[in-house]
Amino acid sequence: MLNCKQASQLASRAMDEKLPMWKNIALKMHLILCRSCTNFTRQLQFLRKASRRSRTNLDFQLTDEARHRIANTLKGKQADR
Amino acid sequence: MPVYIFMNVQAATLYYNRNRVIAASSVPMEPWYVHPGRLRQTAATFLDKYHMIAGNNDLNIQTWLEEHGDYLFSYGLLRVKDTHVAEDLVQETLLAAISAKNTFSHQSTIRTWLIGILKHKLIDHFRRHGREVAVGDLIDQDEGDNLDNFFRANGRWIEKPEAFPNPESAFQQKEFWKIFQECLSGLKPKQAEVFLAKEIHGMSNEDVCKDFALSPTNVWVIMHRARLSLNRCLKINWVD
Repeated sequence: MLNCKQASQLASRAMDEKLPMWKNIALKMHLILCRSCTNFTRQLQFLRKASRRSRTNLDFQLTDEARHRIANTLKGKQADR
Repeated sequence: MPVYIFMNVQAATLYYNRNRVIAASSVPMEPWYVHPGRLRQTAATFLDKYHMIAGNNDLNIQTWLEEHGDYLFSYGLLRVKDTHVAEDLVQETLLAAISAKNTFSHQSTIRTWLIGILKHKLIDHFRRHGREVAVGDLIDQDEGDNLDNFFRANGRWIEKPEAFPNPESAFQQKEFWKIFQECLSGLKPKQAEVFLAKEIHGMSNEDVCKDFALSPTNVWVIMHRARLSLNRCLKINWVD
């Protein structure tokens, strides 16, 4: 039987890739019995949604204006050389 | 798998034929000492190297900004928490990278190399503003498999996770995003790097392993920790 520590590790891993079959079954069994770990997997999904969203909501991308400005500076630098 | 077998058969046939030719000809020829399997291996490593140099690690500067700009920017933003400063840092990093272009060794990927330069720029930035920063704050060591903050010795939760409230309503609120950013900034440097690359910039597992020189197991461990810490931080600052 998995304990919660192992189960949470597997749950996190399952977010990134397909688990081997037996590990998946063990995880599912644990999740049926354990409310805390089920909540943890929900939190993981929440986190994933938030991360996907944060690219636009948190402005984790350069603005076009900044991108142009940097590109121009870099061009100038290359021209100097 | 079938391709592998086919190639093996083909290589073996080649090897066999060549040896027959050597045996049949009157002119003494150098025998082929290299096993064909080895040859294929060499060809594969050569191809790998070729892809590393020509593909991903393009020394064409224009692509650096396109490919790595967002990542550098978000990494800087998490540390300095100011958009303009972060933009300047990206620019400084790329300028320094152009000057130091010749020192780039193909041991690492361009992205890792650029992040290294960015870290030095960050240290310079903090020094200028009178904040003493140890290099260790930006480049951390592996802390081993220590999850004592989250689990008891018998593997049970110390604080049982509770369900978060509805995500959609949280995402509408500016306050939530501020806390989310704070929580990301609070992660250990390595966790923040990997989390940013994977979850926010959508890098694949293989690319993460290659770029950060991590084994898949390392990545699971780092992601697990990062997620545990983020969940806890969000719970303390947002839910409660």
